Amino acid sequence: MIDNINTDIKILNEKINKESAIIDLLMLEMNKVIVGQKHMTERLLIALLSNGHILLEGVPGLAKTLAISTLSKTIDANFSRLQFTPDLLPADIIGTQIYSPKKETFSVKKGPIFANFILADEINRAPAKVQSALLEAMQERQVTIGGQSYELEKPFLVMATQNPVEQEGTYPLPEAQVDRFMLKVIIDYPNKEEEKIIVRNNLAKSFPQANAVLKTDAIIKARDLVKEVYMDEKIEQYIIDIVFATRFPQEYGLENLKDMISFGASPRASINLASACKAYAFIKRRGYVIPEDVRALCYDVLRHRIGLTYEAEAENISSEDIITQILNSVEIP
Amino acid sequence: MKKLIIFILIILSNKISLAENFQATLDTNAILIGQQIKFSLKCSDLNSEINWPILTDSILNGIEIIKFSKIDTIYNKDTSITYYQEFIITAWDSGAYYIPPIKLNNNLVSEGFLLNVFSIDIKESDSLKDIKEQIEAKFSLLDYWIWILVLLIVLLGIYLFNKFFNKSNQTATTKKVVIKIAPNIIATNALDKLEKKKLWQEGKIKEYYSEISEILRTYIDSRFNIIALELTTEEIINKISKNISSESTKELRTLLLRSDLAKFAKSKPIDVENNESMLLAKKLVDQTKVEIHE
Repeated sequence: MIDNINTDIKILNEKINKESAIIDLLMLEMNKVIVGQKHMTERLLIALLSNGHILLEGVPGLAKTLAISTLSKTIDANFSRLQFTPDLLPADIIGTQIYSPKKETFSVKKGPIFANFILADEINRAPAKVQSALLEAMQERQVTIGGQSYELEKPFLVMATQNPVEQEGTYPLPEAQVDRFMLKVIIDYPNKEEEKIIVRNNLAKSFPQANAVLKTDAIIKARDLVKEVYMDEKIEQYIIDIVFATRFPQEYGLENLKDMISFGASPRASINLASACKAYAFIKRRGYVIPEDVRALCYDVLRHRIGLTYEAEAENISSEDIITQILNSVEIP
Repeated sequence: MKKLIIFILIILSNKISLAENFQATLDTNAILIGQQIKFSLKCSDLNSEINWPILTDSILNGIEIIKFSKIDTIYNKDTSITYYQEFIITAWDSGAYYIPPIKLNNNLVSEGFLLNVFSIDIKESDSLKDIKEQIEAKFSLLDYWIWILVLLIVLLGIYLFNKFFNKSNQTATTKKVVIKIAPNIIATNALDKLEKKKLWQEGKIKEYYSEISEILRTYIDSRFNIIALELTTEEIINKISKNISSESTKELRTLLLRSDLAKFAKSKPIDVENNESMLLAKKLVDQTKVEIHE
C-alpha cells in the first residue's frame, strides 16, 4: 500500500526513517533515567522538534523536573534551571545592566535565559511580572536589556513545570503566557510495575545517568525535516474546524458548550496544533499527517487555551471534557 | 405667738377650701413604659374667672396625650357648675416625671404629681417577641379576580380551538408515513452511484477514496450506531471488531487505510486496487447488513 504513495512523500518517508534515528537515541538515553511516562517524553520531543515550549503539570514527585533536565543532558547544549520563587525578579532571568565605576560605563550581564534549554521550575510560584519577563523570550526568541535586543541561542526551548495541588502562594499564569506554551501536558502517576523499577533504580548504588548523544545542529536539522512533513488540506481543515468549534460550538451542533466556554482557542492554537502534528508524524516515522495525529495532540495543545465559564466550573466540566465533545462532533475528513 | 398660729390656720383653711374646688387626679403614680392611664381635671363652684388649660398633645415633655375628652359641663342642684375633662396619657421613656400643679387662676391650683415610668425587665434568655402579633390577611376570592378571569379566558380559548380547529383537522387527516430505508440499501446505492461517476478512471483518486470512505463511515454510523464519521480509522476498527467477523475487520482496515493514504499522503493506488476497493466496500455492506425476515 505504501508503495503507491506519491514519490515526494516516499522520498520524505525514507529521509525521515533515516533521520529519525535521533529519536531512538534520545528515547534510549531518556529511558535510562525516566521510567514509564512515555506520553510525557514523547511530548517533550514534539516540543523540541516543533520549536515550541512545553508546560508540564502534575503533582510533586512525578519526575517532571527530572525529565526536562534529562532531555537537556542528552543534547550537548546550554542548560539553565530557574527555580521560580515569589521574590524572583525579571532581571534575575533576563539579566541586567551593571555600572562599572572604574570604566564609568554600563555593561550587560546576561541572565540565565541565554541558554538553549530553560527549565522554569514551578513557574507559578513567581509573580506575574517575572512570568511576563519570559513572554518576549518565548515568543520572539529575543531579550531586551536596557533598550538593546539580544537574540537567543538556537534551539531555544522553555520547559516549565507547575504543581496543580498547592494553590497558596502561587500566581496562576496569565492567559497570554499560557498561550505561548505549545503544549500543556498533564502528568499522571506511573503504574505498579513502573513504580517498582523506580524504587529499585533509586535504591541502587548509582542512579542511571543520561549522556549527551546529540549536538544542537542535529536538532535544527530535524526541525527542518519536520517542516517538510506533508499536511493535506483536508487535515488543515480538520484542525481549523476543531479550533473553531472551541470558539463557536453552536455551529458544530454543540449548543450545550456555548455557555461553558468563555473564550476559545487562539490562531496560535491552530499553528501549534499543525506543527505539533508534523512533529508527531515525524516521531511515528511518517512523512504525512493523519487525523490520528491531530486527535492524539488535541488535548495537549488545546486544554490550556480554552477559557471555562463559571457555569462550567460549577458543573465540574473541564476543558478536557469540552475537547472530547468537540472531537466527537467534528467530522474527520 | 398666738397671732401667728391663728394666721397660719386661716391660710391653711383657705387652701383646703380652694383644693376642694379644683382637683387634678391621676390613676396611678407608677406605670410601665407605654402604659396608658387616665388623668382628669375637675373644677366646681366657679364664681371667678379661670383659664382652663388647653392640653392637646402633651402635658409636658415626655408625657404624651393619646386621647382627650371635651370639657364636660355639669349643672349641680345648688346652681353651681362643675367642669370636667379627661385625658389618656402615656410615656415612652422610663424615668420619673413631675407633673407640675395646674393653675386656673390665683386661687385655683391643683396638686403636682410624680409619675414613675418603668421599663420592662429584659432577660438575655428571653426570646425575641414581636411588638404585636402578625395580622393574618383574610382570604378573599376578589383579590384573585384577575387570575380567575385569565384562567377562564384560556379555558374558553382551548375549548374554542378544539371545537373548530380539531374538527377541521379531523376531516382532512393525512398521516405522514416515514419510510426508513435500510442503511445497507443507502450505502449500496451510494456505492453504485460512485462507481458510475468513474472518478478514479478520470484520475480523481483522492475524491474517489474520500467518497468511498465517507459512504462506509456513514453506513457504519447508522448500522452499528458508532459515530464513525468522527472517529479515526483505528478507532473505528477497534469499535467495530466486536460486531463483525475478523475477515471483514481485516478488509475494512485495508480499505480505510488505503483511503487514508489516498486522502492524506497523496497515495495513488493502482487500478486493480481501485476496483478491489469498490468490491470490498460492497462486500462489507452486504456481509454486515441486517437480515429482514418477512
